[in-house]
Amino acid sequence: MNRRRVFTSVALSVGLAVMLGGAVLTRTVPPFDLAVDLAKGIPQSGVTHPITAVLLQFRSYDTLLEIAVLLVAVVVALALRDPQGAHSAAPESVMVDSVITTPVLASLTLMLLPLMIMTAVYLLWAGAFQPGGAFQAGAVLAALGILWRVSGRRIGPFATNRWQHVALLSGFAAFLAAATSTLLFGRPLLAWPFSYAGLIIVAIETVLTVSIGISLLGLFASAPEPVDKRA
Amino acid sequence: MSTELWYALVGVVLVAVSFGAFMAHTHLFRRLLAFNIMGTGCFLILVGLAQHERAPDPIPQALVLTGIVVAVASTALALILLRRWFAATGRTTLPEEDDA
Repeated sequence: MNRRRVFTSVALSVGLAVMLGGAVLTRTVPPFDLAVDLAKGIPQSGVTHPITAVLLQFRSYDTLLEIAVLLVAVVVALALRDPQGAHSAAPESVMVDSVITTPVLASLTLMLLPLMIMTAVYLLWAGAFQPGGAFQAGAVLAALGILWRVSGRRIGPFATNRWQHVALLSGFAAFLAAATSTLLFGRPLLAWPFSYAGLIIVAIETVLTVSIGISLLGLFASAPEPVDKRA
Repeated sequence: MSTELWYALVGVVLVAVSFGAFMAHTHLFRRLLAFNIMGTGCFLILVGLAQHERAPDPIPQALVLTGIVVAVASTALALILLRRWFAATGRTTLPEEDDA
């Protein structure tokens, strides 16, 4: 890296710090308090935890698009898999470099399996009234899947297994179906009737948990092999 | 100064430092790291500033939670692209105009 590049970077970085810092320190206080408005709306949301209410009731459009982004990322990752690695060798040999064959990891993963599934279910269930929810539970499931894979156990070739494609798609499909089903009854998109809101939110969160877990695991599992080992 | 304002100012420093690192380095992995730290700084500003002199606000927290998931997915995708790029070209940087 040359000296001019460093100098320019440092100068622009300092300039950005001054501008952003000034903006933060001299900000104008908004005349309304969204947190207060939100607290008034919680009884109509169907859940009691405010963050879950924002994610799946008041700003559920954001969450719907977020699941779409996650799905697009996995689809691109699957499309970019190494064609040589996928065809020349057995599918199970993908990521063979990162398998750690130690008995400690293997038995620990087996012991962690029920605990992590229980933790995921608890986080999902807790999301309705305290911190938790589909994303945290999905992350725990993905971590379990990665442990499972790294310890050398078979999950199956990711791209060729039809069920994994179904699981990948299920979260977004279920969310989209729930979002558009309100249109059939003359209500706006994502405007769930109050009497069913809690039930619909829990159902969507459950499907999302599995889908997010599979998506994150899919991103991990479809990574190309490290190149330097192959050369 | 409240704790929340301090978080926002730490976020400003993180964004500025990682912006400088993003431009100074050409190695794509370093750039990806810098970009992630920049995102973390944005999250800190978003949550810290909204809660400054106010009660905890679940709305920016929910937005940041959405942002974290998107950041994780895009980072994973960027790493996959990076490995493919390295496998295809043997380079860890993008070609620059002033190299020629």
